[in-house]
Amino acid sequence: MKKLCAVLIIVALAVLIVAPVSASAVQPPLLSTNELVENSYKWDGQTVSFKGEILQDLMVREDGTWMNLSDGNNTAMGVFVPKGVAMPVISRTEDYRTVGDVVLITGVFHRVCAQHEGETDIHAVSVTVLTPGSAKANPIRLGRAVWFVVLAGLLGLVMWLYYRKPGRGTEH
Amino acid sequence: MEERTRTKRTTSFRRDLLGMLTEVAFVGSLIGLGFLISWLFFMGR
Amino acid sequence: MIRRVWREDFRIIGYYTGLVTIGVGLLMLVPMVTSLVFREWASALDFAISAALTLLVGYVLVLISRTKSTPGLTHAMVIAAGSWLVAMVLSGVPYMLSGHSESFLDACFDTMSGYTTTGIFLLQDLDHISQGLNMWRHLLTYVGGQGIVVLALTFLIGSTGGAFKIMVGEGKEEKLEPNVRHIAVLIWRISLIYLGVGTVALGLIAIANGIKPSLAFFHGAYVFMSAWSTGGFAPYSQNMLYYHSSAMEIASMVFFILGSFNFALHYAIWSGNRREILRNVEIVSFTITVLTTFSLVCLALMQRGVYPDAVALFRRGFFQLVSGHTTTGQSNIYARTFVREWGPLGMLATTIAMAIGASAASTGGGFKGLRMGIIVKGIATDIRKLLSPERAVVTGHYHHLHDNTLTDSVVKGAAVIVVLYVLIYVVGAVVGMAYGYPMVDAFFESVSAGSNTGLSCGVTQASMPTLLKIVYMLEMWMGRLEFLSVFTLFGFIATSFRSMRVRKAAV
Repeated sequence: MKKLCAVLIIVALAVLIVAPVSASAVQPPLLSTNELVENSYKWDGQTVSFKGEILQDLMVREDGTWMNLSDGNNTAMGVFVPKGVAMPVISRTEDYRTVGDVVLITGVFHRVCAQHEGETDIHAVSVTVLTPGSAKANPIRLGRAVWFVVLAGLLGLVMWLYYRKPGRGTEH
Repeated sequence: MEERTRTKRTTSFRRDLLGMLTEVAFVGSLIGLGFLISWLFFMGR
Repeated sequence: MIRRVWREDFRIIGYYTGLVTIGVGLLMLVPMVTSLVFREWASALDFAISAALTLLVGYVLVLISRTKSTPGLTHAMVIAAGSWLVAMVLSGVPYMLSGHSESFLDACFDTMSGYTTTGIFLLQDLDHISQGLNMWRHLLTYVGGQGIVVLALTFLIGSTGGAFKIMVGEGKEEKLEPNVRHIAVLIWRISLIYLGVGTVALGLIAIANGIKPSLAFFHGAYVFMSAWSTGGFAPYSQNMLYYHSSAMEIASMVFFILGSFNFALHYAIWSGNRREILRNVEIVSFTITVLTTFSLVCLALMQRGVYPDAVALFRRGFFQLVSGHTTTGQSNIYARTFVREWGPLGMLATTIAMAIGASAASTGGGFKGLRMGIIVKGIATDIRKLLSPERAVVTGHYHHLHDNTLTDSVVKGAAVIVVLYVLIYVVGAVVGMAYGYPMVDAFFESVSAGSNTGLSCGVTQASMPTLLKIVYMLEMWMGRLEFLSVFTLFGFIATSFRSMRVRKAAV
């Protein structure tokens, strides 16, 4: 009886230790657009993670939602979230005055998606908002305002000089 | 005078429209031919 | 032309260049208003500064160059080339102020690319620029396609003689009507009608695809301007991939194919001569070369097993190839995908398509379909001459608006320009290879610049060698102006130096 209990306790401990380890080993790799595009054959059909800022237009369509996630200088990836997958509430998308929500998705990468006529995309299976968006500053610099006033003033002067002689205008 | 200007405008509008339609129809056919070629390549595979 | 340069020449050139500069300054008000509408205050101020500066330069030029003379042909060519450079530099100011260009050279690269309707760019972080700057980029290609000069013609110039010569310098030589103002108005009318129709059509497609109505028509306008001008810019770094919409792509394709047609052809068709579209040598040439190069592309893609079905093959393959052939440069695949998956044959077929290019007197670049038709028919006629009895008279013909005789000088003229294009393509490729880029990539990018296409295989980056940037800029410029104007400008500058030395010696 005591031996049986000991074995059961050891097995239970083993399971408790091994289970979380194996679960995290299955975490899909976090990749960039460059990595996915350069090695598209390698990652084709694989489950990957991708992180990026949602660009301006979140396109809701019949069978799901398209979002474009920007993850660097002139790199962005199209991510399709099918109807069945839960979409969190997106507070902001990118524009000049706003930093968009940064989301983390996991999904299947397609080199040439058959459903989307050859597109390079990721079909998401999970979407989470990592960092909600915020307003962007873009302050008006005093130096520039001064430049404008100076240039406008000079322009006014030159235009006056040009137009004041009668018959100057567009005659030539 | 007014009648003539109005007819002139309608004819000009009609000509513009026909012109646009002719061009778009031609381009559409070209695109269709392109699709045909893709389809033929897959049929031939 | 090689004669002494007098002060009056400078006045004529300065005056008309000034007028064009004023036009550019006025144009900057459009992105300024766009930024105001979207409450992008800092961006609006940047455009206000740029507009004030550009208008100032323009008015100073016309003020100091007051003249009553009309431009001769040489003047016209110099004005066309010179105003292009002035516009390029001043139009780069908004880019610099936005902070998205790494250097002033990069900003000029982008504006040269815009005005020549090429479409390769060095802009950093395109996905985060203002609506104002995006409006500016696309407007540049639309206006560039129409010719900065035609812009000036329509709004600023009264007389006809001088204006016609400027337009010839621009590379649009069709003799449509004797009155140049009439031609300019006509070109603008067709373009503006299509602008309206196109923006609405693309905007509606955008709405159907899930874009907010308040933004959809801006997307529509940007995509239309990029397509019609065969420019190839797009509001986001993913180019047409951003929209994930075959409807958007096909509509854009219709417009960029139309934009690649000869404006004289548009005029003929819109005037009632609808048969012309089937008889015209350029249309025939274009149809043949598009379908041939596309078949080559299909061969390459099938051999490599790139796409799973006919629809994908068509949607990606046809769009990319036709975008290249019309020298547009829009793309629905990543640049690196194109290089890595299409492979050398696919890239070569696309390169050939780009090199051949669009129709003459259009917004497109390359050899031009007219020259292809003339040269091929020229060769056919020569063969016929060889095979005919010595005393038989053999003349070739080609149909372009009306039947034309294929004279030796016509064929020679076409061949000379084709050789010049090949020369710049090769020089650009050699410079690229000298910097270590692979041959296929270097050729592709060089032809893309010289034919004003704008597809990239990844060579064009802000980090690329400075000399290569300058070489591509020269290619874009010479390709767009079809060499004559640029050569005349250089000749004029050289002659003016010589004249100054002669005058000094005389004193």
